[in-house]
Amino acid sequence: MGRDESRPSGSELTRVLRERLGSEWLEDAGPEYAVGPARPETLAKPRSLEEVRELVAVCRSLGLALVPWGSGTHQHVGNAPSRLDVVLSTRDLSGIVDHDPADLTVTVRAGTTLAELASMLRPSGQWLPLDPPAPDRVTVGGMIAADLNGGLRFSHGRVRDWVLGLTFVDGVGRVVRGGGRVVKNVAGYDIPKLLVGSYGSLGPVVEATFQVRPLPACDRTFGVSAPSLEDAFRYATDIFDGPCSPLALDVLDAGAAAGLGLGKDPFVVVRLGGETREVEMQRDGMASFLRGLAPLEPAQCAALRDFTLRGPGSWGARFAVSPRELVHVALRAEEEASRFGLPLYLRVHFGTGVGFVRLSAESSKEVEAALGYLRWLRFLCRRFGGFCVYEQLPADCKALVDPWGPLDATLELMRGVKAALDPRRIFNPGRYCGGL
Amino acid sequence: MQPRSLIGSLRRIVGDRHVLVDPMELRVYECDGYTLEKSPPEIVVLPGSTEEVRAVVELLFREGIPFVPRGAGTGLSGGALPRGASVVLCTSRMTRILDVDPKGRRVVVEAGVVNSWVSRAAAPYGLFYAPDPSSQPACTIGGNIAENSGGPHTLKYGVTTNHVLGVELVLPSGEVVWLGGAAEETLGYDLLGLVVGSEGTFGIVTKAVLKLSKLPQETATLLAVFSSVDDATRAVSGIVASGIVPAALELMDRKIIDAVEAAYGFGFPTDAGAVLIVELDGRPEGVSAQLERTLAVCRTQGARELRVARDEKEREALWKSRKRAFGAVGRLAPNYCTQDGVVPRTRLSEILRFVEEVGRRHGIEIGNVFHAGDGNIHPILLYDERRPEEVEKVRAAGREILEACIAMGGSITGEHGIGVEKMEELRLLFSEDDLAVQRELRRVFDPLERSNPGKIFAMPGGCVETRRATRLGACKLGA
Ligand SMILES: Cc1cc2nc3c(=O)[nH]c(=O)nc-3n(C[C@@H](O)C(O)[C@H](O)COP(=O)(O)OP(=O)(O)OC[C@H]3O[C@@H](n4cnc5c(N)ncnc54)[C@H](O)[C@@H]3O)c2cc1C
Ligand SMILES: Cc1cc2nc3c(=O)[nH]c(=O)nc-3n(C[C@H](O)[C@H](O)[C@H](O)COP(=O)(O)OP(=O)(O)OC[C@H]3O[C@@H](n4cnc5c(N)ncnc54)[C@H](O)[C@@H]3O)c2cc1C
Repeated sequence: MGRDESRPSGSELTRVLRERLGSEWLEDAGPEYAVGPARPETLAKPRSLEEVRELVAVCRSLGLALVPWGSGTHQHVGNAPSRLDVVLSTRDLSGIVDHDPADLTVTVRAGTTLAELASMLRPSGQWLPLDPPAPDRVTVGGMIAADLNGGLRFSHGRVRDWVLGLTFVDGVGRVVRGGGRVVKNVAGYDIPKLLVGSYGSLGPVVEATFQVRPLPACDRTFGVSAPSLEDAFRYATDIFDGPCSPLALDVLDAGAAAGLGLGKDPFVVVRLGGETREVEMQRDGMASFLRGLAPLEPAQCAALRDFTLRGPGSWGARFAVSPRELVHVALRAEEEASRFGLPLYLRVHFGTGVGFVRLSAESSKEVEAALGYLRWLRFLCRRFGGFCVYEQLPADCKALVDPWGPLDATLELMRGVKAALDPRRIFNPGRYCGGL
Repeated sequence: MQPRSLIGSLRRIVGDRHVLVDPMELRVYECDGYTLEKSPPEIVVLPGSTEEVRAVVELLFREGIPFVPRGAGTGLSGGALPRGASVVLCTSRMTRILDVDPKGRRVVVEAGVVNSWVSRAAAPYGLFYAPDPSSQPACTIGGNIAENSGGPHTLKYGVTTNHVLGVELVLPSGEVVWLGGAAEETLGYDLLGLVVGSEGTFGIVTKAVLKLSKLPQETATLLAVFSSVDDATRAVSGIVASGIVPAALELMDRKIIDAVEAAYGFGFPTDAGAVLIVELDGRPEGVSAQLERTLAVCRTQGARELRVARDEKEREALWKSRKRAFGAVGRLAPNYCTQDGVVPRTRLSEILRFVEEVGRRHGIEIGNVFHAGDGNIHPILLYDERRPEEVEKVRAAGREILEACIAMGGSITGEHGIGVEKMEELRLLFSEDDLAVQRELRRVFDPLERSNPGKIFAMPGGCVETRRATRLGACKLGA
């Protein structure tokens, strides 16, 4: 929703920016930092909260648009920003600030990757029980901003459930702290929630505190093929209603299973964790009614985790509906894809109502079909109280369909939030839903 | 509008019986569970549906009259105190459970539904609603959402915000919006996350979609008796450090044990320094392994006695003792004030020593019953409201305790909210900029600060000003 704000040419302002901030942590941005048609001139790598604040303050006074950047893995999501002058890389804002194992909390800087965080927690027998794709690249800030979740949400909830507090710089140039560093806290409004899933549109997150948990003594993933997608859902329902307490419970259609090397039939994945005996008993219990239940290889687990980024197909969409309707929506989605003549790859987090579809579409006829299919899928999800976001679209298709989809009466409130925190629209302008 | 014609208009919306103006009836609403301050409202309105709430709020908006949302009035920070406004909107008639969806593990309720009714409605399906404040037989879901309430079991299961999926909110302008819903995510900013814990300052919640959890297969509840509070807190750290996340981990000190014993006679050893109630739940194999480890940790930390509840009856008795502890305290003094600070778990024994010292210094009796596993302390300060000097001492001691929590990297409230009680301390916890951002966000929902004014944020110029300006008599010029 590119609102074209008229202003002087970028280069002159860039010169002023570098004059004011020096050149120690500013450089020319390469083409890899383009987001759609928007090409930034400057790459900034601030090393401290204070430098982030200075950068934002100067950009604000000059009217330069700024995009926070973790490792760039999810920069494809959403509209292309209407303007983009400066990339704020969090690469030099990394590392643990504070971790006292006995408190079960950790404070970490935004540019830390999830893999780094995990390796720092592991020696104390702890983890942050979230499993978004590509932990070797995804940063803590990117995970918060893009609200990246994985199968563990079945048992452990989402990013919002684990962030206790955070520090960010808003578009007025204020350093803002929300929440705190203790596991229970209701002092003031829950600002961290607002930043989770804000796609960098409210300001760069510089530091965050998470609650962490003891690592399960035993953590194993099993899978089983099913003759049909309906059967796969029946298996998942039996597990869901039965005595097991899985960490994650996913259903894949035949396309996704094949794409991940898990056979050619629909597939159910169950991740179990806890005391060793607990895991064994649950596995035995399931094996008694799920013939063929077998452990997954670590590589298969990783491929599943990275499905939304590296799965088969080049188009991707995420949807959420009431869990009561999930099976119905998934079955319809599968059925309809064949009517559109499209190969579909479907993964759902059972019990949460959240799913992902991926598609391949190359020829112009296929592209046409894919767009039609995604429009239909959004319509279906909206009918069941949900939504559907097209996360991966070819750039030239973003003009044809809204990657986010329509917002209801809450758009006015969201505009108010954006206006309060970023009145001059310097962060990722136009990127977020509703053109925020 | 004159008060009399306002009352007439309100009666036309909700019915004659549901607008209270008789001073005797209004006294019930002069405070909540925080009794250090009282201020009776002039009108209490009891709407019976979202539509009635909408119409009432819209009328008040047009007339320029602020209001205070109220559930059961069990709040402990003065959130429902009619201080900045003289009209109270109470949800006590909005008590329908609208939908139970066992398959999707969701329930849709009206805001006035009492917390414990939700678990009761879910129980036939093997499900329950996890947030369980000790006040659960009385407090409402609307109040829980406003305060982001916790309870003993939030250690493992999380607080209210982790279990609310959607709310229907009547904005202070009278507009009705849904934030979230049955789906686990929504498009756009997490406004729902912001509303939970906003203490009624964003409008009135009229309905909510809540998440239900599966009842654990096995539960083990343990009473561990220690000679001193220090030993008990060391056991708390030991249990957490051993890689166990108990469902609940609660501590009661000597004063509370005495009160509970005197009131109910559960059979606690009255010479104990402190007891822990530890609950473990999950799969049977996991629970038995964790119970072994928990018992071992308690022994190492010098537990004098370990009692594992043998059946549901014994388990219930233990929980009754914990959840009725506040009630029992009522026998010790005419009044009490509960603090709600939080410290990192590793600083528990330090803060408890400090609490003891503060009590000694001010000559106030203080008992402790609290969510030890979360580091969420609840010192209960006993006093007599007829003695002004005691009231002052209680306020001063409370402030010192909260300042100590801040100094230890903690918070001034873990579950009871800021209300009117901790507005000053909030300024110690956050910078001017932090608070400015919070106020700006409030104005996104409530630009004229009509919903629960004078709460959370200390008003420049003091609250006396606010109170006077909002008396109804002064409103005839309004709008
Ligand atoms: C097609 C494709 C293929 C990929 N393949 C691979 C692969 O094979 N292997 C692999 O490891 N990874 C791959 N990735 C990358 C991906 O892994 C993401 O990893 C990552 O998810 C997002 O985190 P990030 O730190 O990169 O955030 P970014 O993508 O940089 O940012 C995501 C959003 O968050 C905002 N943001 C980022 N940081 C902050 C902050 N601190 N504060 C506020 N807002 C912030 C941004 O402005 C943006 O809106 C691929 C990505 C794509 C698009
Ligand atoms: C004995 C006792 C034990 C307690 N134990 C706990 C505990 O373990 N954990 C815990 O967290 N709390 C506890 N509390 C505190 C209290 O019960 C909770 O804060 C509870 O959530 C308040 O609910 P209520 O319905 O009584 O709300 P009220 O006291 O009526 O109101 C509380 C706040 O919520 C607002 N509000 C109420 N309804 C709405 C609505 N529909 N929409 C918008 N705003 C609304 C009010 O304006 C006010 O600011 C305890 C209190 C007592 C007296």
